[in-house]
Amino acid sequence: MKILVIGHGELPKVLCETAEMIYGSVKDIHYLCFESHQNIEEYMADLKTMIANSHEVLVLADILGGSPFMQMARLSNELKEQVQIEIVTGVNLGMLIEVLSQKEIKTLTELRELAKQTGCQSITDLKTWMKR
Amino acid sequence: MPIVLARIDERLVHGQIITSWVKHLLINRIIIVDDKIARDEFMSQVLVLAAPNGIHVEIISVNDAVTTLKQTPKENVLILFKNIEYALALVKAGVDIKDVNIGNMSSAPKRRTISRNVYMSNEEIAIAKELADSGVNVYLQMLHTDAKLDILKSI
Repeated sequence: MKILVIGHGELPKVLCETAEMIYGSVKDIHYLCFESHQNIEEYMADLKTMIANSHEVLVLADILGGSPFMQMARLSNELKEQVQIEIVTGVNLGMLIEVLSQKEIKTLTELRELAKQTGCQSITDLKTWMKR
Repeated sequence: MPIVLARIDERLVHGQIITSWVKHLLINRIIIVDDKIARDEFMSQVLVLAAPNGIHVEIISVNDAVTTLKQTPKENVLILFKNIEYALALVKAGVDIKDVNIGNMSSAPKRRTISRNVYMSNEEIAIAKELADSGVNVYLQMLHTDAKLDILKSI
């Protein structure tokens, strides 16, 4: 299964590199950066190249509604007969590390749910956390 | 309440930019005019969902927009175009649009830099000129806090 991190600027690249620094290197983790004045059609073509030959892809996008997300949504619909694609938004470090650690042993749907759960669990505050 | 803003923005409804315009002009209805997207059921759905909360968004063809806009809308309306050709089509069809704001057109192979957020091809520049010649005030303005720049002075 392929993991693809997408988002604005260098966020995808830096997030992947940071996750690797913490967790170690994992196979089939990819990222695609969307630079501020990049042409959308060009970006779409790059996205397509990255996933067209895969069977299953879990896409982790930086933010719902942004251009990377919108293009990916469009592409996932276009390719729905050929590639199984799940798109989770709001990617954070906790989410990504969990996905890296579980990708070989979970199905695409399970991984999608795990990504959302772990992403949310990553968000807390110290006082609340210490009271638990 | 007439059309309070007609804007060309390739990113359409999502993002802080549109939210800022919506708040500034008290917009409560967004009409995206685009023949291609109007035919794409999936993307139309996604766009409607991606719009700011509480704003009514519709995505319609040029012909449907002409019909819809025959009566002055009761709400404060923002008309959004991804493509400047649809803005011209609407004006040519007689819809009363006095100003067209070119907010965001991204860089592309045949386009050259007009401003920080606007890149245009020769065809698109010709369309902007045609709009201006027909009496429409065509100007560049990304955010409402930016200065307005007359397109004819920038190309």
